Amino acid sequence: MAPVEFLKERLRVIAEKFPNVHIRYGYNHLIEAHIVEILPLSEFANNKELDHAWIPLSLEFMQSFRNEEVVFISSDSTLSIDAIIFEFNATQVYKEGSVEENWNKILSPFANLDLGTQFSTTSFISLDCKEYAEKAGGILHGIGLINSNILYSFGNFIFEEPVTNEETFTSTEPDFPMAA
Amino acid sequence: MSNFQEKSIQSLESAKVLVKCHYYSSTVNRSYYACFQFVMHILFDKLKKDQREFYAEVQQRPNGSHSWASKLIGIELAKKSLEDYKWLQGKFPEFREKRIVADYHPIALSADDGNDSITLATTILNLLRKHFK
Repeated sequence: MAPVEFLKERLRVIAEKFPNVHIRYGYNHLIEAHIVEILPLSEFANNKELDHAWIPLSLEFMQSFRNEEVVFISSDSTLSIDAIIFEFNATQVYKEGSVEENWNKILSPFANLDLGTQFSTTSFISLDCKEYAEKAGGILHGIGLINSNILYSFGNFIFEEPVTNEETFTSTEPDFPMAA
Repeated sequence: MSNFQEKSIQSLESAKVLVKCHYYSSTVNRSYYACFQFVMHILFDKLKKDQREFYAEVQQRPNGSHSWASKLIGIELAKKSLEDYKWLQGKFPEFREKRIVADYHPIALSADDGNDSITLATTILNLLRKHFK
């Protein structure tokens, strides 16, 4: 069995056992390794049962495929997947009530802002926040582009206090397409 | 003291000097190599892996000695602590990528990149020392 097929088959079983966990697979050509991303970070970091599912798989893969390497990561990793080859439970992780609630809290300071406005710099955006932003089609990138030293935390999200001075906002074209 | 152990110590010390000189890419390089050389020290001196066998195995692989050493040390670490294996199996490849970017990509690294790499190297070395005394 090819390495990718092996991973796909075994990760499918894990995905069925953990329906709240989003699993993405791809390859990182820079370090020549298979990458399995498990989301959200809270599950990857704290779910011991999940550990007991993927760690033996990781070791079995390493021993079965001598010329291959697999790395299991979550959203806190600097490693990235070049292109997602397959994924499981893609929509499940974003349906968590707490995420929705927290996101509404994040949005509230911006209620009076034109979300089509591009902020000046991307000084900070949490990875969980970024995932959600990407899922939301780009508009939430604007929320992450905030310039301040004050950090706020809501559950999985951390973000900086918005700068209300309009001088910090640019009127130039955004670097990325905003949601319609 | 073995060659690789001594090399590892010197690499980390070099990284500390380089970061003070604002040579951040080189800092990342030396920090990473401090870990890689220490892994080689463990494999050859602690676990008595035959060096010729190691390099013969590397020759049969498409992706080189770093990946192979990382894989071997991961398997050994898992026998001692699955929790630490979980951490290292993610961090070591991250570090490898950071070193490749530092060496081969035309981007400027920051003081934070340099300092973070020293901190990460120190953490990895401490973890390995704890398990492979």
